[in-house]
Amino acid sequence: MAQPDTLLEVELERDEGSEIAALFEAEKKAFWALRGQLLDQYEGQYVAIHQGRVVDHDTDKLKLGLRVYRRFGYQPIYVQLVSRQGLPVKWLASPQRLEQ
Amino acid sequence: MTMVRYNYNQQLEPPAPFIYATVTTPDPGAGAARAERIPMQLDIGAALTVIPQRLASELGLIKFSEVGVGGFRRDPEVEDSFLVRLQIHDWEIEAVEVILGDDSYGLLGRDVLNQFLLTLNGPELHFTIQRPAESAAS
Repeated sequence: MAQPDTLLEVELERDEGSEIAALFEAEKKAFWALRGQLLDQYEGQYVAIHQGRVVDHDTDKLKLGLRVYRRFGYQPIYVQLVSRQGLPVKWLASPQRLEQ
Repeated sequence: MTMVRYNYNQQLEPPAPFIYATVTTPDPGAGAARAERIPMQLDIGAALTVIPQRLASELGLIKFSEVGVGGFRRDPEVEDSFLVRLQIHDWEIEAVEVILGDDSYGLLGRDVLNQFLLTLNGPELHFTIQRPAESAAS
């Protein structure tokens, strides 16, 4: 059989969005897996999870977020409150008319 | 102290206070941050700020956290949140945690509005907004 003259390979464009989403999901999963241990040390504080471990903590969620993005760059990092209760709840209480 | 005056938006019924704000990623120094200027409704019934869904892809926003979000006669549901920087006229707000909404405009919640002095003049359909010096410094 004749040999091909040229060897070609197709490379698909990387789906950066889903890679970032997958990394974020992994950080989130790590938080919930670690939560039991985190309660002893960080209860009532927010922790930042990066590459599966706690990289910083603070009682102020926004300050913590800014600090970790400055330190690690704008990349998937999961920030959450360490608490025995569920997630903190915020209310959007304004009803809207359907016809708008 | 700078004061800005807006007329109410009268496309909504009843008319409502709206303002323009520019949304960017939280760390513009890190790279080419994209920015988007959007209309935002002043909503003192909202505990947090909402931006239009389309901004997540347009600005390349990365998820930051999760929050439980409840509404009028609606039980709380888990929503992804994002950390953004907001600019309203000359006023910079370095970090705001936001969720995504379905409307073409955003909602400015009390997390942001409580940093401002607002005077609503309903009968004349306008409002003024200014930022006290101590809020601007924080």
